[in-house]
Amino acid sequence: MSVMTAVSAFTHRAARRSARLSLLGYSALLAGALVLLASWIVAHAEEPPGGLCTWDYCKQVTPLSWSVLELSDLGAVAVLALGLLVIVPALVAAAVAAERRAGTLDQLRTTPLSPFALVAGLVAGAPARIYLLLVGPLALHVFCGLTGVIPLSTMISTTAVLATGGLASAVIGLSVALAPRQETGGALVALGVAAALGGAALLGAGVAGQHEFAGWAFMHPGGAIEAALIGQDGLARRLVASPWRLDQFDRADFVAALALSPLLSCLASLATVALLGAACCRKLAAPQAPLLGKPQAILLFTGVAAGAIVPAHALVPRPIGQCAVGGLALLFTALLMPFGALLGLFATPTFESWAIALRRRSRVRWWSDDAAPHGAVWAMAAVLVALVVATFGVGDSLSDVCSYGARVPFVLGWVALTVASLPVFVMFGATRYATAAARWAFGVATMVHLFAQAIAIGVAIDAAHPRDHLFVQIAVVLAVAVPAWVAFRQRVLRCSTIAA
Amino acid sequence: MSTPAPPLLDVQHLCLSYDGVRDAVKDVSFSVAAGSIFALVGPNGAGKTSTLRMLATLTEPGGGTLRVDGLDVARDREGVRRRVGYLPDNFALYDQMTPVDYLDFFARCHGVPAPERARRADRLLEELDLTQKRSSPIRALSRGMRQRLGIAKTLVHEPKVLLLDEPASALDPAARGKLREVLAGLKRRGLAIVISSHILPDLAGLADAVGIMEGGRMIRAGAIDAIARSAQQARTVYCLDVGAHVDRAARVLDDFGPRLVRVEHAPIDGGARIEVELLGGDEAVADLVEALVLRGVRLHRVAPRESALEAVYRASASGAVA
Repeated sequence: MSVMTAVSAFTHRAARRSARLSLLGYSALLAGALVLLASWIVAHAEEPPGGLCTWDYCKQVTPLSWSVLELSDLGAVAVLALGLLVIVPALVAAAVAAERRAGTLDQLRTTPLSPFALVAGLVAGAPARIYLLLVGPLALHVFCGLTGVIPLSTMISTTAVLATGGLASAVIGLSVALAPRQETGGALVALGVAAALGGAALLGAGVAGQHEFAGWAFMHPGGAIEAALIGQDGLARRLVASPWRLDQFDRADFVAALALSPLLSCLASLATVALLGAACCRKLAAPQAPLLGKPQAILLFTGVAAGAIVPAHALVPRPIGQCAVGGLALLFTALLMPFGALLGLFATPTFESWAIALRRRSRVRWWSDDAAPHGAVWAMAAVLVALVVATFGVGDSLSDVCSYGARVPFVLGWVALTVASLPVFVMFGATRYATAAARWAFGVATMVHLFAQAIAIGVAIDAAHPRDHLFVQIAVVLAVAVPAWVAFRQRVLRCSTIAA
Repeated sequence: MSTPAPPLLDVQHLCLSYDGVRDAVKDVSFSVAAGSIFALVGPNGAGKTSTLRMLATLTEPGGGTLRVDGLDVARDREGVRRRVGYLPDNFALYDQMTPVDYLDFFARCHGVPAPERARRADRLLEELDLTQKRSSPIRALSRGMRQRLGIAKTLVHEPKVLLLDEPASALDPAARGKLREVLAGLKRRGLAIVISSHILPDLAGLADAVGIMEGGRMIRAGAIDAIARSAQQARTVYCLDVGAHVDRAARVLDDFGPRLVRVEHAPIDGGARIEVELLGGDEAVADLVEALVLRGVRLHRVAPRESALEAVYRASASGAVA
């Protein structure tokens, strides 16, 4: 069954033909409201004295001629970003969670629609109302690009980033709703997705305007859009960039980072769509399977880790101070390995699948869906180490870390042990507990343990004689004892499962 | 001499285990011909829903073969889905939609051409007595109406096989009566229908064949008349309203011999009702009635307590029928 059939069915369900005209009307009103708001702001900005011109930013902007259309275009882009990067994925997540709760997702699975067609229908058709509402702002943005209000290249790059980023965000929303074994509260899932993606958009937009961090702007479409907008000297740059930092736009590396961000963002979004789209398809085809296959989880981690680590070398000005590389490596480990553990969790079998594989007594390969996530998570850790070494160089990394002297083997060993223990917790949490509440409780307890370990490692790095520190001593004992106890309980569970 | 038509639904040695130890379904085999109803009965947890979900292609079987209209489910899932309509026990409706939009959406999902969609929706709504509610929100429909709308949805792509999971649960008597009418109509149209239920009176007189499941196994399956005969040969429960002649009737029962398995007395208006469980089927009942009449007991009513299907189920579940 074709994808078009699914998209058409879902679009019609979300917005019937009669409603579409109304929505397009509202959309035109929205575009008109943006222009009116821009006119009001411009009128007040140009009114001396007082008004908006008392604002520091306006003092920078005043020398430029305010343009109503340029300001409306900024508003249109903001509305498009809000709609496509925050509201649509939240809506998709809520819709799918509701389908799971009502049992209608199973009904859809009994139709001849393929999993790919269902994914396309849910992503492209289910939020049709929002898409229709955004037609007006999009038309305004395209009009501004075509009439030279903003550079054509800016219009094209922002539109491309919005399209691909919106698609990726919607697929993320779909994945989040499909991932849990039991359906979860639709509103809660939607709120979580909206909050996470909204926060990421703000963070992305925040880093784009700082030359030190602009290399990371592509990591979220919000950052790439901002990079595209401030890449040209116009109203957007004067409004967004700090007035006392306008000189940073003379730096070639900063300008290059801004220019590259939209393209990288589009590529990253398309890769995300391909990976998570495939994951959603397999989950719809076989709901008992984990969301991610082990290779998919590793690929996803590699992409995110490379996006996070590589810019640290290429775009952060050199030289990095002594110890900075070692600190960065630890920071990346602290940020990325919990993400890796989360991906590992999404690639971990349910108790039932794991038990069937155990009882068959056949050899389960580490990349199989029924296998424990240890191989995958350790592979992610290896990827992380490889990326750090490749980015900063073995010599730099070791020489920086070596400034810690005799503590190096101790700290590195401790970090390695903590990272290596992650899949033990993931596997136990996924297979031992039958209810969502119990799994959450175990997850929170594990997070507390890991957070305490991170603090203790930090203390060990900073303290002159860490091994004399009581907190460090206790943490080291717990670093060994807690995963050992969990591994022992897993072993008991394994034996009882085989014996049952 | 013509060969009999192959069954529309053919299930052979179907197995499923969720954890490798407990079998949700074990070695289940049955077949359903066009224009007949197969009743899948058994207590909760017997494996009825798991079986239906495998038939509906929602769950991958652990073993065995499933054929729908000659198509192997493992090989042509899409083809099977075009031929099967499945109604889960919760009906799975979109509460915010109207019935006509709901049917239109699933018709689109099944690729029904545009001019045909509206016609089918109108026809189904009329057949299932929902025309007056066609534009009301589904959340405003009664449970009986929701169930009929669910059935309409399963028919929107004109399937050959209909799978209904506990369709009558929590329905009032009027709605159950309506459901029986609907199912009888579908049977006349030549659909092969599988109904799972643990409420046996709903299926009595409607089902042509029965499969009795317990603990994931099909403990008995076949044409309902044949099984009923054998069951009644084994044990029959009858109600006898004996008026005021309770003591006289009790003496007859005492003398009746080993064919009488169980006797229970219950007072009713104007006398007493005696429930007897007999070995030997109709012949034993005739002998008992004759004995009672000869001893001067006036019988106000003699009736079987349970339908043939209930008798089959009880007898099979207790192991009385091999």
